[in-house]
Amino acid sequence: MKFSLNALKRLVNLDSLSVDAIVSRLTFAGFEVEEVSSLASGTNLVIGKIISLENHPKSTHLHLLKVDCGEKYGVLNIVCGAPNVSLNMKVIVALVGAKLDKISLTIKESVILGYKSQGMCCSLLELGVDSSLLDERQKNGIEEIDDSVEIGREDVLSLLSLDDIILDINVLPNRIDCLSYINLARELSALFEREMNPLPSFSISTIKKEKVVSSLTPFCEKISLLRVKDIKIKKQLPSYIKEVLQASGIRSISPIVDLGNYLMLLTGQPINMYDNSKIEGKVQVSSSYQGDFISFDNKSYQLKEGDILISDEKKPLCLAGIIASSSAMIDDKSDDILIEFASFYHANIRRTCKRLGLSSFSSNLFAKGVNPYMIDESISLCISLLDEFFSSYDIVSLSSFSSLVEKRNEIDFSISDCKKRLGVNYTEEEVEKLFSLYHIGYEKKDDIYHLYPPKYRPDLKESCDIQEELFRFYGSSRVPLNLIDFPVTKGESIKGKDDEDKIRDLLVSRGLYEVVSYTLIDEKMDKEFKVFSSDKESYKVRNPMTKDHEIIRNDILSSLYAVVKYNLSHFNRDFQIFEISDVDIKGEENKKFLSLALVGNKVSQDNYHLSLYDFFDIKGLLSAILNRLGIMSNRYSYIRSDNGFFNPYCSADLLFNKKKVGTFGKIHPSMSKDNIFLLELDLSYLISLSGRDVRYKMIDTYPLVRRDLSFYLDKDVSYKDIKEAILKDKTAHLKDVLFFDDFISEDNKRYIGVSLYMSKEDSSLLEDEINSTLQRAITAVEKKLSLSIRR
Amino acid sequence: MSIEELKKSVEEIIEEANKQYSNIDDEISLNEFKNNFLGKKSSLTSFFSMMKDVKSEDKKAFGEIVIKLKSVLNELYEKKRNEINEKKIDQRMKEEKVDISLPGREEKIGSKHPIKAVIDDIVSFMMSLGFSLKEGPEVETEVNNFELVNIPLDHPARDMQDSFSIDDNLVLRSHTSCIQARVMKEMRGDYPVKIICPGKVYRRDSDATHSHEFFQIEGLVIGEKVNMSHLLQTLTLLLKHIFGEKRQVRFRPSYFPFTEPSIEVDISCAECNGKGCHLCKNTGFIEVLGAGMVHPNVLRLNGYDDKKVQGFAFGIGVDRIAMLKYKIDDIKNFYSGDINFLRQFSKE
Repeated sequence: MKFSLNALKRLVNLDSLSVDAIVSRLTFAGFEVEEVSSLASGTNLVIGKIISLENHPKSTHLHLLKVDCGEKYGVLNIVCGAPNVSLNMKVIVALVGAKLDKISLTIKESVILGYKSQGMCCSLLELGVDSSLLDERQKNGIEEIDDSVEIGREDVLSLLSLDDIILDINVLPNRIDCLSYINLARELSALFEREMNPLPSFSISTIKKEKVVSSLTPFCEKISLLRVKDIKIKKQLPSYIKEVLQASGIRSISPIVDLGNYLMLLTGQPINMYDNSKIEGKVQVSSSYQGDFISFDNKSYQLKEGDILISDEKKPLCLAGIIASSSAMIDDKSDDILIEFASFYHANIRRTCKRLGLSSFSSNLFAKGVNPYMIDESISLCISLLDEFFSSYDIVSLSSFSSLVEKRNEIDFSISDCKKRLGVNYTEEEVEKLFSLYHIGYEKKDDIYHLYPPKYRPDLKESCDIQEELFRFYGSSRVPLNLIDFPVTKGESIKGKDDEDKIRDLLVSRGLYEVVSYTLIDEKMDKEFKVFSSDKESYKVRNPMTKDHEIIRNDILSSLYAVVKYNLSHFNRDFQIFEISDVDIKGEENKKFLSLALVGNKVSQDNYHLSLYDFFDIKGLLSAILNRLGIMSNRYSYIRSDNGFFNPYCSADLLFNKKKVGTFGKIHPSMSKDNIFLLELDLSYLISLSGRDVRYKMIDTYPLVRRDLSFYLDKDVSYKDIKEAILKDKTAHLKDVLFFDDFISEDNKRYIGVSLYMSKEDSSLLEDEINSTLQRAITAVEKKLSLSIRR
Repeated sequence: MSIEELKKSVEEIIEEANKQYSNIDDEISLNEFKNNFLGKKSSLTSFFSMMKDVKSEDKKAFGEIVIKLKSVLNELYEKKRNEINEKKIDQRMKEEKVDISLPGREEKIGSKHPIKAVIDDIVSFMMSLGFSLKEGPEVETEVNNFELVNIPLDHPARDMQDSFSIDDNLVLRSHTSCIQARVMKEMRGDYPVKIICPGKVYRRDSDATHSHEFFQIEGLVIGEKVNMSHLLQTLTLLLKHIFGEKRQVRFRPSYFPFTEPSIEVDISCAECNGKGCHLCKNTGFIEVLGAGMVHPNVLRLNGYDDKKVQGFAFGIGVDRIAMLKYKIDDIKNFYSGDINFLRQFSKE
């Protein structure tokens, strides 16, 4: 909220305190001053009078002025382009050397189209006054100064009540009491130990009581209507009131509206007013109305249960705290008015505002919560201010409804508890000084203070609230920094985290970049890939910001693929990325998936040795991952994948006992023509597998013998078939069968080459043992697969 | 053969050997030399076979001369052999000559994501202080996300404009504070609790410094004597670890529903060293995280006796830390996955 420093200074004595001191004290007491600005700025200003006015001979809009600036500055020649200049008008002159900070201008003597100009006639915009505070005439022309002002006066800004400093203060949600000048002044009074200037007040018990208002809803616990009649409006508003309005960016409109706004800024209590002559019967507050409500600007709103409505016996008057209807609005003729002071339940106001898209300064106050226990004080202040706005009036009656329970917060506080929690040893003097500065009543019994906070401080409810006050007031520098008595514990990781980090390190060392893609995806992406969730519905957000981000992915691949597409469209052709992320799937525990993409060419340093990524690159990477996790190759198998987003001839599923744990391969050409290989893996499953510990096996003492065999491939037989055939029927000496080559001979025949590794534990193999092992393998393949050997 | 004759013949042989020696320039001529002077048909070999016919009184002298001859010839041979060998190795190395200015064939290394790198760094630092790592799901119950961290139903933060709602019970977590609730439930009133909880969180917010998805790290400690001194010291250690020993750390009172007193923590601006610049909006300080003493009501709500235990909590916006650490101006860079962005972080 923006505060006028001048206005605050009228409420509390801040003499001889610099702006910096005030800003710093507030900020370190929890009231962060986000901006300090001057309402207007300008040096070397003087009031002058136009004593001669001629058209500039070379311009259609410029004028040549002679401006009398009084004895000190004499008569100046000024070339001026403002449309509203006229002879004998009094104006603000910025002299040569004047600095207008808000528009970054320093006035210099100049020659404009051949004529000398010794200054500038200013508009308020040029002095930096916000345009929201100005009317059309002020915005389009120079400021016209009242004729009664003497020429030569140099205190221009204060003359126009523009010498104010505006503090923009971030008032935190627990201190909404300070969304008002009076309570902020109370805070300043405590922080600087300065006296408050007495507030005017009026004893409301002297006013005649009436019963014309009632509330039927628990969401309005207190409402009062003050009736004032025969009002005669004052023409000129005192400048100190204008100052408060200006600081909040509120333009003075009419004294009745200004009264409401001024009172609201002063007390934090929003005010609404009705023309009493338009009210029919009694006034009632309810929250069960359902139907149309027409606002004063003729817009229609559909009200629901929970929206709080104020009506008389015939018609709705006001959507409480938010917007009035025209039915009992104040107009130019109104002289018998009802001033409403009420408190409505903040959540209802907030929800109604959100739903209907309405918000105003006063509805925001209600939405944050207005303190119902302060309403009578606001009424009293209102009455004592009426003289400033009305030249005559008659206070008729006050009608109040209240279902409030009169309660008072009481708190037990002890210095030793505070020391235990904050680590600071505040003395009794310090603590009691704080109580008195903040008007917290107390009784002391043994070591316990029994406290009675003032009723304008509903945030003071328990002892930690008092500790906070001490911390705010005496500052964080009172807290010593140490770890004495801090619990000593062993930092534990979570299961699988080390495996996850191993995989991340592996992939990064293999040249992959880790990405973080969006969890929230659109409907189209949600249908893509679905490696693990083809039959599952995803979570959907009820209130998305855009359609692009409304579904919670249950698969990472689709958003990773979006990153692939983003890069391709940004001229990155060859790259490799991965992501490990939590995935929340309806009805399942949350899981970690790993997704990766190899795109374009495998590139080494400086782009030499390019080669297109192929199926075996991604399969190799997967093997490396499984290896790194200690998962032996006999625990899993591969089958061709039937996922429709992959090329069916160039993709596979990873299986653990028929359970699909991953899918990888080339993307389906209908998705993309680029060379893209993708993988998605259920990392949680892999990490949950047991039996991954290292099991040492004796190293063979005798050498492994390798012999190669090539088979002529004239049938649809896979390497796996050959390997299995050989291993199924083998001699004891055969240890392993490994692939070594797949080639096409000169006569265009395809061969597959496998290496057989043989050994004996207790001696070297003899030649005939080797031969019989080879023969056994050849026979097995010939018999089972009808493949012949290449000799 | 007499000694005299032998001496003479040895002289001749050495002379001849020296003559041939200078002509040796490859392995063939070297072998020829070996055959001629050290081989089976060489004079040296014949001298050895003569030994048996030499008179016994001359045998010793004869033998010494022959052995001397052998060693002279051998020496010559070995010397030449080494020369030729060295020449051969030299030749072989020349053939392997490379242009050392050509690039290495090393495969490019990738990079960790800068946000993940910051999380890794903070988590491992906090673990070194004895904090345990905890995680939780991103789809979270309203109760954990709001109620149990002291944000009751009618609190403004519960309104739909701030968080993403899935149904009446579920939200996408809007902060990592909900992990607190999960851990406290797991602990059933037991303490000490000392945890660090990183994770992705979601809010309806989007501009140059806010993304609707971003990362937070939550810290929580509960114990009998855990106090504000511990909090300020822990945060000072952490922030100096992240941003360097030179940074000043300062604390301002603030407000959060789950802590009281609450603080906002600033560090001196690294750009201007606290003098004031555009980055710190001329304040010399930059806000980096929020923290406070756990509100007694949070303890009560989660099954702890607030008369017996107390604690502190803090929440770090990881994106903001990463933006400050690497001087990144637009948060969207983190989530677009642009390779040109990512490849700058290979060191992390």
